[in-house]
Amino acid sequence: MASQLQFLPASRGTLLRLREQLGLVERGKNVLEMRRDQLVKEVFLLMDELRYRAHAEHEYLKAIRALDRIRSLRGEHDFISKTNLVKPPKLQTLLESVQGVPVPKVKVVEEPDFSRIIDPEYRKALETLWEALHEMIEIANKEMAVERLCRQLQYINRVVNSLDKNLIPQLREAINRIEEKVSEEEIEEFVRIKMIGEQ
Amino acid sequence: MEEYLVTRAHGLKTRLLTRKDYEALIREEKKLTDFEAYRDIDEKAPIDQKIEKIFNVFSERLELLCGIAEEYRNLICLYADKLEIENVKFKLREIYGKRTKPYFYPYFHHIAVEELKGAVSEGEVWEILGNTPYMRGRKQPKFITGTVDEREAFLDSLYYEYARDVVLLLKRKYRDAILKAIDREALITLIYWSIIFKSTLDDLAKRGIISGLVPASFPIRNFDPLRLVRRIGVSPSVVKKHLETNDISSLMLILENENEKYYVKLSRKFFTGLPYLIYYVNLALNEAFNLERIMLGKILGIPEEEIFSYIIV
Repeated sequence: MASQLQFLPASRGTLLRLREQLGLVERGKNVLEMRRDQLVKEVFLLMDELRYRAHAEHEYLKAIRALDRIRSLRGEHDFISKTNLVKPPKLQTLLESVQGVPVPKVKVVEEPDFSRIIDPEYRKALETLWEALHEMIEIANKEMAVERLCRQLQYINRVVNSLDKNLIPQLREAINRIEEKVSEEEIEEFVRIKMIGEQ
Repeated sequence: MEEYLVTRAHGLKTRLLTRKDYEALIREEKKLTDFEAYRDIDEKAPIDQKIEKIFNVFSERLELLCGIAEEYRNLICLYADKLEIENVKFKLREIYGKRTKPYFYPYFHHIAVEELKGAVSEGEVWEILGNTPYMRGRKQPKFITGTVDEREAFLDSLYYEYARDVVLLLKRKYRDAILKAIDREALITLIYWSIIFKSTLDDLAKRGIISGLVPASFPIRNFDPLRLVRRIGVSPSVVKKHLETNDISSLMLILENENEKYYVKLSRKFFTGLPYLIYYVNLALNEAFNLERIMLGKILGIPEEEIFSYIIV
């Protein structure tokens, strides 16, 4: 683009086209900046929710430890066969749009079924673990959204910077150069016509 | 032969792991392979294989005693037969659950593990059981709750009925003492099911589903776990908190630890009698469970002191 701008013919038509192009680029840049602000706002909102991660991790570890204790006390054989009675949850990975950015999300389609486990200790431990795991899934979804939004932000920043630092200055420079050239040609033409008139 | 059997049990008892051995294992000062009986265990093998080897050692110990006096096989294997009943429970859970292959104890007396593994329906499991002494003279009752736990309670009941039948064939001088040991074990199991089924347990009792769990050598008035624990020698105030919070594993550990005192008493009273054999088999079985708990505890990263509190010495 930069090299193309250097060899443009100095004419009023080119000048008009370049001015239109500059207007369009500046409008695009403004739109991208607005989008960037919007994404930053969304990322900050999600980051606020991610502060809950430490608590969710703590709950998850607590649930795991409680279950480990039961596993150790009741024995591996009993634990494996008892957990056999749990109908596992059904999870699905979907693409969800967050501020127009596609983000993969794990959705719990079907909750696990603990109804076959009557032992209250096992049942409570497994239910607590599932609750903690469910929270971890929600946190993971949010982390994934933040990651994808940040990636999108990086891309927008690159484009905005490129427009701001390269394309817009180059367009302005080309417009200035062509403006100068066109006005020089106009003066030259004016002087030439004036001299022909005097003869 | 009886005296020789008991003498061998005395000798074999000296090879069992001591409190210090457990401590060394938990603190990782010693490895399991450092002990003669467990020398062949591959330290890098998966946990299920290691546990299988531990229970193989237990089975070999029993087989050694059975080889000395085949006529006492049923008595020697009495406590180990619990593992067989556990295997049946695992199979039922597999059938009722998501059908993932469970681990089975590598133990066979009346029910071949391979035969049990091959069963695909509950009917087949009961058919296999029907050909064993556990179901002799018993019919499969009509289950009312539709849960696998009800069937498990019935299996426990069958086991204790069978255990009493085996003990009743013994000489009178040993019979009552061993019968009481069986009743105490049955009572611990009854306490467990009383927590699980609560008021439904009365219905199960009326239908004869848990008849084997009711002690024969001492009376019980009702199935209130707080009253039942007294019979084991545990104060209700000790277990009240565990019952309120449904901390069944800790409660069972307390009861089992307390019950060990009865076995120690039994061993002192019948130092040269058959009850000593029961004492030894119980210790050997405890060793297998203790090692399983230690290994699992280590793998799961449970603190050393906590693992130590899980073992029965």
